[in-house]
Amino acid sequence: MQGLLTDIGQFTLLLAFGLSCYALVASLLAGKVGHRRLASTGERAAVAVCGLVTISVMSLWYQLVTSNFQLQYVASSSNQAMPWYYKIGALWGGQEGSLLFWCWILTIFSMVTVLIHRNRHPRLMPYVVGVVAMVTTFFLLVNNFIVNPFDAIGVSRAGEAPVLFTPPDGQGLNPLLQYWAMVIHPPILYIGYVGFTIPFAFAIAALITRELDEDWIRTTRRWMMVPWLFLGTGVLLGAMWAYVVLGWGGYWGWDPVENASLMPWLAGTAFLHSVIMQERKGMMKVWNMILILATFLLCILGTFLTRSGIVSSVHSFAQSPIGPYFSAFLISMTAMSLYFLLSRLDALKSENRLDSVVSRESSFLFNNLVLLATTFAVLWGTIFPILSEWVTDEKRTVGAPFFNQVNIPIGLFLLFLTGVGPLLAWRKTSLHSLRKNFSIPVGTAFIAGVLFVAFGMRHFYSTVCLILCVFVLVTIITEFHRGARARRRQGQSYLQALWTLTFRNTRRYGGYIVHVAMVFLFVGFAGAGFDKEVQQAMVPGQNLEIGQYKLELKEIKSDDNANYSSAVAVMQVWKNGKQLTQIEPEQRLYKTSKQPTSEVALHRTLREDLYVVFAGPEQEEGNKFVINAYIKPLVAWIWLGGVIFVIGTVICLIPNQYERASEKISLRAEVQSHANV
Amino acid sequence: MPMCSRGSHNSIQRSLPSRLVGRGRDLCRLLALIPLLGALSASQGFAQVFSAEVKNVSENFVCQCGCNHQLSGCGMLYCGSANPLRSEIDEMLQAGRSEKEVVGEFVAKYGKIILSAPTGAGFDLVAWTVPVIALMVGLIVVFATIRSWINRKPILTSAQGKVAFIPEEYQRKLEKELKDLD
Repeated sequence: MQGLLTDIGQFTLLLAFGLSCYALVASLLAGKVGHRRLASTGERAAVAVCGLVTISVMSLWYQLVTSNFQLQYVASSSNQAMPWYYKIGALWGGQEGSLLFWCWILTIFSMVTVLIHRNRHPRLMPYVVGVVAMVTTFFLLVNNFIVNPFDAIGVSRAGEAPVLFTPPDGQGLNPLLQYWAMVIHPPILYIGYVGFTIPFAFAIAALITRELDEDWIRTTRRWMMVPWLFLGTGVLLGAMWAYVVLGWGGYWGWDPVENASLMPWLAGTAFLHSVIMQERKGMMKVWNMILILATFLLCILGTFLTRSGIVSSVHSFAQSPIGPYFSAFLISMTAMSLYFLLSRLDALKSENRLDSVVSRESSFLFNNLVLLATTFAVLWGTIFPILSEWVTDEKRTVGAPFFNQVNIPIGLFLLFLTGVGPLLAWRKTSLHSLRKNFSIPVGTAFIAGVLFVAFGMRHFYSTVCLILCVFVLVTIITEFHRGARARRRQGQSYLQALWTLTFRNTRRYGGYIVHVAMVFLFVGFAGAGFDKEVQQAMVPGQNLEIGQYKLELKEIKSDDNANYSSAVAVMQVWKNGKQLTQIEPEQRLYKTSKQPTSEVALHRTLREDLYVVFAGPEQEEGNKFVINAYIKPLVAWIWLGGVIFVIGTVICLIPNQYERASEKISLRAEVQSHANV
Repeated sequence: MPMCSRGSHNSIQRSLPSRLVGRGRDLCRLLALIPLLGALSASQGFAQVFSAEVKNVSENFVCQCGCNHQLSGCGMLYCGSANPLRSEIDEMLQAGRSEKEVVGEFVAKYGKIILSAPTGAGFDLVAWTVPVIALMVGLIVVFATIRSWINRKPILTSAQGKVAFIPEEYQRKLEKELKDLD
């Protein structure tokens, strides 16, 4: 059964490659000659590719769950002792499987796009399907011929042909990946990465056909927001994993893989702001096009950087042969994007004008500048080690001190703009309006600043950040209050008014909720300025003191199961003399990989996290155990911010009544024009 | 510190025999843990405690285990790179070297790759200046764009595709409505 399903998986993957090639050629040709039936076969081929890759993925999952160690991929990323859910997660735990998974998500996106849009955009769709098929074909090429997850393990003896070999057990999934967030983090992140292919395809299709009206941008905005939501959530889940699993007390280390996921998210954020300018004022058409193209290209660049081994990363995809293929793909995609963009510049000219520097329009421009500056700084820091090696023949490391020094001031300016933007009127903001809108937020922020300093806050960036957070939060509350007050005049209760307000203009108020999420995130980041850390070697019965906490090491106990052995430090926590809780930081030794890992013990509150790591026996005195204790203020706000971010973005995605009406009108017009054709 | 001191918060005063039994039990538990803890640290080394000064100095360096973290922040258990490097810093500090001297000796021994951020000299300066220059150029471009858009004449494309100026009266009305909308 395993062998049969391996063959089926292998065959469907190959067939999918063939069909994807067909979808690519047929769709582009159909777009060129305007042959609707040919376009339709391309669309059907794209749907069939999804079905075939699904079979291939199911087959690999079966091999992982049934531990078919004859396959190289299964043997290197799972073992018999692993629980079933980690075996499922092993699909994206290694290079080959994760690329297949990537490909699968892409084909699902492709199928959904075909099903939703094939009748709505008859002119654009052949090119959209063609471009998506182009990307799919590349990934299927890599998966079939360079890193195939169905490759068997072969043993070659001198002078003989290789013979198949089945090891008794696999190497197991990297123990650091055996954590619940890692089961959902990669799929969510990949949905984000892969999803940006669809807006990219629409952008290229719109450029080719010169159908650069409002309709395509409206469609693209939603397709951009979905992956943006997933990528943002995935990034935060990754941060949570780093915080809880890696045991170094931080959530963001500016690792190239982290940077690779942050860059497209920042570019996507810039687009989601500047697209408002295009929809409302018909401006920034070229800029928006650049942002869509750049977001996708940054996804591919990030994938290339982190999977080719060109930059060193803690993530395990380093050394692999796919680098040259990805660089060729990246270069060809960039060349194609530039060609179509430059050759269609005349059709992208903006129509409107600005009335004043002090306006909502200007704030969008500055917002975009700051977001792009951050993106560039992150990209620059990530690729500088490569550049440095080329130029000076000596490699440099660009770590957290560089990224923090460059990005913290930019981030604070962005936070400031988040507060200022909504207070500025479209077109022109009068002095009276400025005074009226800014007085409460600025006043409150000033009072908060005085209180922060009075209560002993001395860390410059953290204090400034918290003051700005107050400013932005008050701005948003004021916006909601104003809208609700206006609605209350129509006889609604305050809460009812807030509800109606939000769901009548989901984009605006959903956007404000996302801004609240950003405030929460920045509050969490600001907490890093007040971290405390104590490292102590202890024997059972001894105490460790950190801040207001006292930790008593009660005992060290051991545990054992099929997957790992563990040593647990049982610790009693006291706060201000009162018994608080018992925590159990743990060390595990995974039996197959012989890799030790740390299971952090956390006591979480909104104010601070008590973060305790059991580092193991001390070198010199074997009867002592090293405990690392940290106080991490305000970290919980980051995760809360993540939840609010999801809620806000989902609200933004709900069409409000105006959007629904305009969509109906445009749909009717399209159907009518389609019927006329 | 005695092995079985339970701390000052234990309010139940136990008798001497029961305390002795308790100590014996704790000792037995620890002895039982020896194989596991031995296995945990066997090939990797042991955990070490370093002073705050060592931590401060180690922020200048990056751990070489591939975690990409600063030496002060590498959380890998029994890291084969972090602990020896921290020990080296500890020894240098105890020998009376200043932070600057430790950094100099590390760079001489391991190369500039050991530093956690580019220095402010030579080609490294490019790393720091390019983002600032890019931001400055971006600011100039944004201001120039805003200026050019402000200087652009107000135009309106009519349904027939002809370009027409907006009459003053309509402009005022539009402005009023937009203001109300905001």
